[in-house]
Amino acid sequence: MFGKTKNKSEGLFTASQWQLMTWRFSRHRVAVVSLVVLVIFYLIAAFCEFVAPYDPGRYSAKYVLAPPTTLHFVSPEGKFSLRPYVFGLESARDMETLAVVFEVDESQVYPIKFLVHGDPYKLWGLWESDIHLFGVDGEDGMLFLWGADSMGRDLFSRVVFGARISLSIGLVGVFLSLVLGVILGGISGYFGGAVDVVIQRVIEFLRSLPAIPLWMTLAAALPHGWSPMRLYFAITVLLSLIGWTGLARVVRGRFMSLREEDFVMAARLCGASEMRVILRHLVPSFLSHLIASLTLSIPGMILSETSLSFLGLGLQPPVVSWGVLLQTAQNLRTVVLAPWLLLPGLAVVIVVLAFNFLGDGMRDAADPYSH
Amino acid sequence: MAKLSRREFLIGAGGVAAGSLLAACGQPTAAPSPTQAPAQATSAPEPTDVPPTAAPEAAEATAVPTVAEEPVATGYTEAPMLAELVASGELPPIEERLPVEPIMVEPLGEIGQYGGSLRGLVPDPTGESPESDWLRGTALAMRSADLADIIPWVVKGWDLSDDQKELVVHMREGLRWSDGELLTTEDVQFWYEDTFLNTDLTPQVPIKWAPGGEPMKVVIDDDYTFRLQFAVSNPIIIDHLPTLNPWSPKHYMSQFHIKYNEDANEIAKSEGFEFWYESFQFHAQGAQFQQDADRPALDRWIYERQDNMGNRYYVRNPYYWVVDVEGKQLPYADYVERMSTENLEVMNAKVLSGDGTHHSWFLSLENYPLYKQNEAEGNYTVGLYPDLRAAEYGFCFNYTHKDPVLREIFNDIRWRKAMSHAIDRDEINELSFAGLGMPRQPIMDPTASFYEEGIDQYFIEFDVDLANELLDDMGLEWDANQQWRLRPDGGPLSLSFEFWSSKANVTQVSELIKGYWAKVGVDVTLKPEDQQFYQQRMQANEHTIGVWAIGGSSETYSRQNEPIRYRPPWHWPANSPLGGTEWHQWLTTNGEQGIEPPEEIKELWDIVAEWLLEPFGTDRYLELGREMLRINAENLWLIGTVGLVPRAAIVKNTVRNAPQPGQALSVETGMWNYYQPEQWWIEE
Amino acid sequence: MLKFIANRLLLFIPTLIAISIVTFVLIQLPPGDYVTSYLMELEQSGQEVTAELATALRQRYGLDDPMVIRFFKWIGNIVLRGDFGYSMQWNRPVGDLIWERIGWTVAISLATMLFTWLLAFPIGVYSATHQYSPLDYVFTLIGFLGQSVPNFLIALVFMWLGYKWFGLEIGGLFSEAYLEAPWSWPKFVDLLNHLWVPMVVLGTAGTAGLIRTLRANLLDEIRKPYVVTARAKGLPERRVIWKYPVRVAINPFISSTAYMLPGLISGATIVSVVLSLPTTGPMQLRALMSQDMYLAGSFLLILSSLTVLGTLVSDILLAWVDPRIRVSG
Repeated sequence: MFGKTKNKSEGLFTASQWQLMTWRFSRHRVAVVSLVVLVIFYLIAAFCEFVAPYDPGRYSAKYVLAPPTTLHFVSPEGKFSLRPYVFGLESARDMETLAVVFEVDESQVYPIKFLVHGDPYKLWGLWESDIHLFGVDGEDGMLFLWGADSMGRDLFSRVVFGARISLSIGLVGVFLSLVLGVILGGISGYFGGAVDVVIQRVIEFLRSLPAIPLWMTLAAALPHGWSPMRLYFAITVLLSLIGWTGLARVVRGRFMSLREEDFVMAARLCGASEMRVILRHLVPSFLSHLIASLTLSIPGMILSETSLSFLGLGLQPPVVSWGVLLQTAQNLRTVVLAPWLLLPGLAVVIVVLAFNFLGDGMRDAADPYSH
Repeated sequence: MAKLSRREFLIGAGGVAAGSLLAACGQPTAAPSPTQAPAQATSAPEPTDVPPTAAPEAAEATAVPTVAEEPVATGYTEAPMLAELVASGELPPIEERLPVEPIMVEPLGEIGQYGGSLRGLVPDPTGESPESDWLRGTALAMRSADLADIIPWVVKGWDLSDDQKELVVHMREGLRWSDGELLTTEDVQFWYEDTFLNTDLTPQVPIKWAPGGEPMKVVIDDDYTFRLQFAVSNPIIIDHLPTLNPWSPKHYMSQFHIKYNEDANEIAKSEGFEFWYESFQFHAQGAQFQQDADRPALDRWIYERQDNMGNRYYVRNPYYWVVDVEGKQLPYADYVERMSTENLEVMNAKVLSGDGTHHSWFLSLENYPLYKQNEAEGNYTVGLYPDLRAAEYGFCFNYTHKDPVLREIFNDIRWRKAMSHAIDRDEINELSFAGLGMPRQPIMDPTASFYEEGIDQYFIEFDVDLANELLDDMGLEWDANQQWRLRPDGGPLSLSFEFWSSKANVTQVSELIKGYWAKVGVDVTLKPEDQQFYQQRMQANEHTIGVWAIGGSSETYSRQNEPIRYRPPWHWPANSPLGGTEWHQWLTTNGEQGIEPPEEIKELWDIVAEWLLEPFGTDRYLELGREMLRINAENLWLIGTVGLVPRAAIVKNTVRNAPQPGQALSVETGMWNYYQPEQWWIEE
Repeated sequence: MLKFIANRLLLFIPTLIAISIVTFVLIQLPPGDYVTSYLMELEQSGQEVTAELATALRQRYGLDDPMVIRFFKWIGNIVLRGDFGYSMQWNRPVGDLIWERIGWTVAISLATMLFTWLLAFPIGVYSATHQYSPLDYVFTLIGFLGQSVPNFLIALVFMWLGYKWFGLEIGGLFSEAYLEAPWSWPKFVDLLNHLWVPMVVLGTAGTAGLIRTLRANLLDEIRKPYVVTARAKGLPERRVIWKYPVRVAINPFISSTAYMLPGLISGATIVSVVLSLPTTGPMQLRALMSQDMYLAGSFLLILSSLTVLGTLVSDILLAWVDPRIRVSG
């Protein structure tokens, strides 16, 4: 019904569905910003070895729980420079409190440079290099943008590396859930009757199995020869096979309401097959909700990863993911003495927010009824 | 960190301590072993002279409480709350409650005042708390402070026959259960015939009480004397006495026993069980499982009640048979409480806010700065207390690995030496233990009577070149990229390193070790695992490297239970065999199953067996002990990183006569029990 | 309508049976059992652990029976005697344990749910009707923030701040003084003082989600022709919005009541653990981790049954709200 016409001169009125969406989307400023932010995050994740100033495993007893290094723009002589620099850091253990105490050594000055030589790495396991986006030259100065953790490892680098895992881990699962949910929920809601009943029973059954024990059981049942990453991936897939039920239920509800709508009847009268009716007509009218759910699911996956790692059921050290970083920061010592360790939470929040705004924008853009 | 010499340890009551082996401390009698309780130590009158490990203030010279030699007081006094009950007629007067010769204890600091409550926190409603649950118990005997003697506690004394096959035990006349009934040999007989020998309650008698394969016999002489008889000469029985509680309150428990009450099965059913012995065990249970507040006990504080949050309340035992040198009946504190939270951080927060009177078990060194920061607000003092654990982190290679190539490699002493030399223990010490530990192999602590200087320092130097040399010597060549070494049969030398991941520093140290071994060309894959799964893998001989915290390594522990750290599989075989599982099989089945171990292991096994049969303190005992340690040290089957790490402990400033920083606090010595909690008192 | 309900009820029973079997199997799947983890703890505290002890314990707890027998014993006890078995960790009957905690669990969950709905509804409607207004952006932002921050993180931080800034006692629902005291006004106030942290923490995510979905759905509806017509006909704005569009927009919520019921009982496990609340969540988690068979199994069974019940209720509600469904069955 909303087919394309060939008369280009009619512009807006003949633009295709997708063109309309893109145009409307671009008017939603916040959504556009979110899209940009997400693209940046994914780029960082893709090139994490290059972006991170240090190797995430690089530790040192000297810098245990070092606070974020202060960037200075004005030299001790009072000269302002666009290139920030940091001072050297000395440390010693206070034998009374057993804490490592830091002292800034202003005699050592380290300017921050772009494209510096640092820890060697292999980009994507293929190309060797040791050039990092930014950092300080040499071995003595340390740039802890977000401070250091309990082994003296640079938190910022670890967050950057963690992005790679956290941002990718949920995508497949979400996609699977989506496909299953829409198809099965749609069939169930549209056809009703026996098909509906069977699918409903299955859904009910799957949904009544609570997540945490299921997770634990699955974690135990999988072959233990696999690496933690592979295990987690497998579990995510398995869980999504159960997770589709949520979406399916809602889709079904909507379909059951919508199938009585006029345009559906009209399509049938035109001779459209059932499948075509579902895919071509019902789904687009449901698209906005679908998109809202999709963009809500991805951050849901990210948050699940953090929650499950907190319980000790998801990823665990030595794997580096945002969930793992938060889990090791989840204690009073961090909150009181080293609060910068909670910054991975900021990364999570930003990404989740961005996804939400993006989804919002896409939903608004896809809404066929808005003018 | 200052290395504690054995002499210093022994002289300073710091390390010296009781063998209160929790070997059945408060173990629920769901187990076939008799209801046992932790033994406590008496004290040595020596001052605590331990040089501070990293503690800021030098520890004051204080003595651990002593048992008085001569009774001092003439009259007895009791706590006000009990005096009230006597006045109202609910309790008999104090003279009738105490035994004819109560034990007299000289308090650590000063004579205390009655009142108050000792309170421990626990981050798991179903777990046990050394700060509260363990404080209550008492046992037949306990170890003296210098480890040389076993001192009678509940009983008055004993005599071991010349052939060491019979032990005559004299009980204290007039000692009563917490409900007022006398403790006599009737209770001993009941325990022996109706629980120990009863196959429903005790399906299998522990080896400890069945030397020579036959369960020991108990013969009753009169109301206050009984004998233990063994099939073979058994001098080690003396060392086992602190874990023995051969009595059960017949006047109360017989109602649940089918032999004395034909309705016992019905009673069981009405309580939700199927059989009488289930209900019997339920009522007999102790420790944090005790549910029956009516069951009589001999504890310092008896169980009163609990709520569904995991909080438990104990109240003083009006019949407790210990007094101080002025005749005041102990304990001073009226109550012991155990408050539970759902997780560790809430518990930590409560500790910081000043909740609880003493903490240690659940504290960690990492949080020390936090504890220190809040000292004023919480009105407590936090300090470092020496511990006797041989190593915080020790591991074995699986010497009976299914893969024959790996088996050959692991059994080569050069391999073990190399892997040990490749570890930077100072760095581990700094990163994981605040630099407070001592780099050492997991051999006994210096307080052992046959300890030799330097026995814990074999192959301990951090020397990557030496490690590489040894590996080259073994013929393990590098691959084409000079990155990893190759196995003799070609593939890359890659080891799977499984470990139980719940303890933060296990993960950390494992990561560090992976890094160190990478430098000598050994590739390690870290696999954090669930504890149960890990144990199962070990039991099934499927693991490559077995990692654990190496406690239970002291002389006392080894005598009272089993020298688990000094013979295969270097841990409890039933649960977590670290290495050489199949050797252990071979040795315990006399060659029928398992794999035959090398000569050194066979020799070690025989030496340990002989050591266990030798009475404590003889020259032969010392000689065998030295041999045992030497063989283990030279062969390095169990490799360690850092040991003797002091523990952090907090004691509130209102609690008196309690241990101070610098004094030893260790599981090997029964934790707080060594300091006689009955003589702690609370200043209002 | 009645036929509809009857139909559903008939399917309820076999579903329950299937669930009980599956949950029992699930509990048994991980290797090891309660005895393994118990022995582990014993060992940690330096106690003697022998093979005999292990055997004896297993015998005592009936863990060496074949699985089928254990299953039937368990189900039999539940159905015939209302006896859910014995918790090995707590050494008490399971029924007692769960019952003791359910009260608070439901109370907290209901309070949170109420908080969520009361807050979300007006905001959601306002947001939809005043789309793109500055307040809409603010609400959207706050809502999103609430959804984005991991629960347990806020919980810990709030708890500490509550202590540092307001002197609140840490964790739990009551200060020590009121723990065992009878009910009174000060006790109630104390409860509120402790309750606001869990409610806010637990409520933020839910509120945000509700606002978003409500807004999205309502926006869909408002654009429909019938709304335009109603306005054109002069119906007051408020009636226009509330009479029909809102009713339709609630549709997805009703679908989701199905799992609200078990959510009430399991009570936001993670946050309860962090805040040390006396609810069923932490108990369940601990039971699962130490494989306390009967306790964990009973929890699963109860939760699953409630889900199925919830689905039933939700189906009925859906049919009632949307007459179109009723007609088509």
